[in-house]
Amino acid sequence: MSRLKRLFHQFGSPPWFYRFSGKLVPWLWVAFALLAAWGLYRGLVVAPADYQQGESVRIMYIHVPSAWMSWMVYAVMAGFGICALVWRVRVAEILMISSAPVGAAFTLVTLVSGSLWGRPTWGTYWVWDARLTSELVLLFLYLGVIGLYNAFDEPRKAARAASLLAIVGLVNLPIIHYSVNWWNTLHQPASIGLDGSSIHPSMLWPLLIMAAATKFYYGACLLTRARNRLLEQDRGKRWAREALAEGGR
Amino acid sequence: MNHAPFIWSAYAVAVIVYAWTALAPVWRARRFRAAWQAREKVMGRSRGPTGTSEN
Repeated sequence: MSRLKRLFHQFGSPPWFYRFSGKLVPWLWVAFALLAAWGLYRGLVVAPADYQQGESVRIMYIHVPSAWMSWMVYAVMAGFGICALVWRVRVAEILMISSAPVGAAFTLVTLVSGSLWGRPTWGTYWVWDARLTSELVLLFLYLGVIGLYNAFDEPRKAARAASLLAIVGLVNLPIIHYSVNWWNTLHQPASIGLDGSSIHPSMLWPLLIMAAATKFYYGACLLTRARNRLLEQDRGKRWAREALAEGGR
Repeated sequence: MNHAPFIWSAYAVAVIVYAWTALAPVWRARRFRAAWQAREKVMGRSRGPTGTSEN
């Protein structure tokens, strides 16, 4: 058996996943805390004000990484949904549904911080343009996945239904991404692409550091939530009882 | 226009939402563990010192 295949099988084993993720979570929190502290210091203290946006550009250091994460988490959630539907991996089902509240949080912060940036910059909190509306649809998709999962009593049936909705909702991601190119929107086009960035390094670095920090935050939140669900679902099994007897470690 | 209220409001919302997202599962795990331990205590008592149920 190849190393990758063995890892995939190990990953699908709830006791192994529970123990492995338990060791990983504290390190993810440490990486998040260090990067977030560094990114916020660079963004709020060191980085200069923008010549057009003024001081309100500092909202970008929380808005842009949150927006990127709202899309990435959805793609990852749908990926787990595919694993859950195709291979019936229970850990993937749990990771899929554990991703949804974290993704919803990123989307909510994106919408609220964008709205607070829009008031001083555009003169309005909200416009029904393609980017803002499709991001709002993303929030509804996350809430839909959570709601659909909670509508079932049986967790495996619930995960299959929610996975299907998550996969169907993937169609919204290219709409969000290309909305600023396909339609005439108030929202500006992307400033960072594969061919480089139009942002000055003094502002780009805090943005990238915060983007890295949010990835560790997602990892830590996802694994914490997934461990809880696993323990709750398997509380009657021997490995879970042993873990609970050890204080949930 | 003074931008400070908008900046601080955006960061305050982010801190509240992210803190709640991170802490809610920790509180849930604590509640679950406490309920499980209480249930185990009751089950242990009903089993009696020999480990068999008295009912």
